[in-house]
Amino acid sequence: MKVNRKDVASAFIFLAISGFFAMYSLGTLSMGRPSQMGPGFFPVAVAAILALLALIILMKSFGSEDTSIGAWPLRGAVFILVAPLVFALMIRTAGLALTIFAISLLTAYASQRMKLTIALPLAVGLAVFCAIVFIWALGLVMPILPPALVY
Amino acid sequence: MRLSLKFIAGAVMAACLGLAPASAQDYPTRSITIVAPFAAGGSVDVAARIFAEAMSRSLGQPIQIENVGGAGSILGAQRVATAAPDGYTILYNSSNLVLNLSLYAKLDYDLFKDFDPIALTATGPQVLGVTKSLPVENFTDFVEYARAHPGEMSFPSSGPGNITHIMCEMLMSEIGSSAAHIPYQGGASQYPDLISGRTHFAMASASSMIPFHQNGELRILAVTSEQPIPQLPGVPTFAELGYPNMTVGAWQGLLAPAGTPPEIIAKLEKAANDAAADPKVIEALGRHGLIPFPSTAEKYGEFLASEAKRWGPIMTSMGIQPQ
Amino acid sequence: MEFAFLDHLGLGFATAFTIGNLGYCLVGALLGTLIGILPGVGPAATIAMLLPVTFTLSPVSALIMLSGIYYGAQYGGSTTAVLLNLPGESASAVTTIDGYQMARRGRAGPALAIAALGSFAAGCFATLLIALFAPPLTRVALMFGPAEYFSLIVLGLIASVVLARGSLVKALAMIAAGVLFGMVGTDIYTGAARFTFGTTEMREGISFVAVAIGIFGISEILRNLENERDRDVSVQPIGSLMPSREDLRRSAGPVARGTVIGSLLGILPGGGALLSSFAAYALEKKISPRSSEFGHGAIEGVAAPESANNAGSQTAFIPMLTLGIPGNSVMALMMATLIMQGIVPGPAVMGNYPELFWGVIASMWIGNLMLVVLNLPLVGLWVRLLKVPYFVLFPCIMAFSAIGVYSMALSTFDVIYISVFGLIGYTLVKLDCEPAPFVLGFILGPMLEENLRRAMLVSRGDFSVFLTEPLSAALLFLAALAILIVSLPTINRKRDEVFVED
Repeated sequence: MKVNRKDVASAFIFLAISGFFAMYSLGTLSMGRPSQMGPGFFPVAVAAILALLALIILMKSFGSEDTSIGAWPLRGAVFILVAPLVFALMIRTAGLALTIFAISLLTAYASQRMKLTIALPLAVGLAVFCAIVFIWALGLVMPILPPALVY
Repeated sequence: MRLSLKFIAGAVMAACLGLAPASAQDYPTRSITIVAPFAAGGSVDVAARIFAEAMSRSLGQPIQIENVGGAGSILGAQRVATAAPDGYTILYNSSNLVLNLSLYAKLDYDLFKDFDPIALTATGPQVLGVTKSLPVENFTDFVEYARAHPGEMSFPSSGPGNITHIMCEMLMSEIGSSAAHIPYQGGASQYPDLISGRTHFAMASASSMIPFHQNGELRILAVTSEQPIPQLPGVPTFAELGYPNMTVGAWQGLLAPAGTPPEIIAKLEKAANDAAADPKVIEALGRHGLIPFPSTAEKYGEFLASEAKRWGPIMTSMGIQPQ
Repeated sequence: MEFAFLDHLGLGFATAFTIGNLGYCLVGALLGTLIGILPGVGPAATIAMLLPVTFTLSPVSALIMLSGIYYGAQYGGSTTAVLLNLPGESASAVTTIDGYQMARRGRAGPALAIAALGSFAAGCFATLLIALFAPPLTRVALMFGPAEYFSLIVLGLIASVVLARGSLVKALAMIAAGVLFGMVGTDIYTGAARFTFGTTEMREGISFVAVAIGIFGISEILRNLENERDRDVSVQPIGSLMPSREDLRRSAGPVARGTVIGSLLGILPGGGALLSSFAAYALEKKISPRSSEFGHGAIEGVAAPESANNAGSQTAFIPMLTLGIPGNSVMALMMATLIMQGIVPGPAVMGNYPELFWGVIASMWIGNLMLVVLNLPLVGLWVRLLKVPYFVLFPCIMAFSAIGVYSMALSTFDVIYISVFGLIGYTLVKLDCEPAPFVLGFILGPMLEENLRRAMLVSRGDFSVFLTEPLSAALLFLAALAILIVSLPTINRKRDEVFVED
């Protein structure tokens, strides 16, 4: 039998999202009544609609043509998705310049074409550029260098 | 460039001297950050900026405002509670900080242990306004109408537990009636529904409501200040009407992280009080319906404790549960 | 009446056309363009920082400079949306759909040029409209109570399924998923924390800019990294920089209709200007004879939302100036500026300070003219950005996005959302689920709930209020009609054809 696996997968993702929000609401939030809706009322209603739509997607996926999902850029995804986490970990203690240097290198190496001779100057350049534009020109309140070193 | 040069210079110096702490006598030797625990643009934010500007002139160092908004001031307060107690990171807080004690079950800081008070800065009176379609001409009419129609009127607020909500509930319990509470996001978004009569009365800051009163869109019936407000001739105070419990206002002040050296607190306290006495500051605050409310660090500490004691039981009696 | 209107405009231009005010207008527009191009750094933060500077200016000059920042930021924002698929603010989320596709097809130049020209045309018309009808338009805002807003948002969400190519059910599911993610944070009615796992940071909700950057920008980077060994992912050769005669002809109608929609919706505080850009897009896609080109780089898909957005941001000044009701955080800051100067926005402003009211209106027109003059020559420069190899571009995008998102609330949580939504967005795109309806549901969901619950509070639990209020009933009728039209079999087939050809 023909099954569109993309549709099946998206239906299950939607069901998971719906399930999470419905369970969390039913478990921790009050429903209230129409004249005084509680915080749980609307999320549960929308989660129910989403579950219904997911079931329709699931039903329609049977009997429709399967299409290729294409390649997954695993290496790129890891480097790119880790970069914001590194930023979040570093910015308070390492300051803007070092943080930008680090995440620029990380993001650059998401591509297999990147060479060190490009990546290093790029990361240094970006760190300097960001310090000038965001802190000096726009006056954002964040340290450039590690605060523990400066004070 | 000026900032980055300073940082580099600082880094070199710190490396040579082995991170010797600057002495409290020299304070301040670099720019000070005032954390404003709300989004930029509201009247408390503007007041913080007015004080920052005036205080930076007397302290001789720039003061920057860092808006750490959200979660009813909690996030910003937390930031300052855990900051180094060196006088370079302080908090501009509003009455919210005291109301939060009854609103949130779990706070990551202790208002009385994690902060050293610096000074109060300003206070703002609230007013009671009604939509023009409500058949009342004055406060006595309003009381009669409210008693004859319990539970039928509704009032907006800037959110549950906000001073605008609590004052309306207080008013209803004082006059022995009840009304439905309809929260809005922020102070201004409540006005279209109030003007068009979808909601019926509101307590709000004088500065936000006076233009609608002057234009005839809303009617202001009473004010919470001790003295009548000059722009509102003929509008009585709640105390004059026999409701002295309603004489309250929203207030603002400055707090430092606990353990800040007393010399530094004293310098900041003096700068804040000098600012509050500056005619330019008084005029700028007045435009936002605020009155300078200077005090010593010690008095502010006592005031904080007394406010906490006052609002806790009121909020519990209103059925507000800590979340 | 006509003479009064000419007098007003005359007074406005006389006020705005002084050397000083022209200068402030230029400074504001330039600064706005700069911060608009940087994703995340928004006009609200910039205006807040400049607030103390404006104390030294006259009220008119202060407001002229600050409004320059406001609409300059919108110009800059659409540049990033077209070139990098990064919507810096909600209004340009719609522009990414066809703008970025145009850029990929080597037509970034015409896309940027038409965005600038369309905005300028819209700005001219909105100025005239405000001059003619400002007082009666003010009352429109008061007609919208919670029931009317609820129905308007329902109509907006239903109409937004035309933003997506492909399956109708999937688009609806994406809206619902977006609405659910929009619920994260503190419930404004009870103060209850929802879906926060007990953290204080999540009480603030999920930052919109982080979601938009993750879902559009990061997932686009990942898409570019697919099969990078096998094929070259760089864009097609860059064609002409300026729009052709044909482009201009095709854009005229969308610009006119977008301007009308934007001017009308912009008056509604709280989401009006926001709804306008995709309402205009949805309308064009519905009525265009070339609707199958939408989503593949149709110039109408850039012209309509950009003009609507600009007209809407201009008419958003009306409720702020005449009712003292700011529609968004930028308007709230402008109000604070005026109050600092001793002018309380409200019904008396137009009568008591005519030179302020009309001067600001006239300066918007001048500012828009400056932006066109500034931006058209810059188009060539921006387009050259696309020649930068993508592996050099990505670190820059990532650095700017992270700093921009972090700077808004200095929250490291917000930065982490970039990764989370990048992953979610990329996975869903892989599964043929379009991101635009998700983002829309995310923005409009909280407003939908807020107004539903408020309408129920006001009506004391009576659901019939949505049908007994005539304006609300009419809007819901339109929503029902829209869903009927999109689910008709012929149109479904057309949607599928488009989908297959992709």
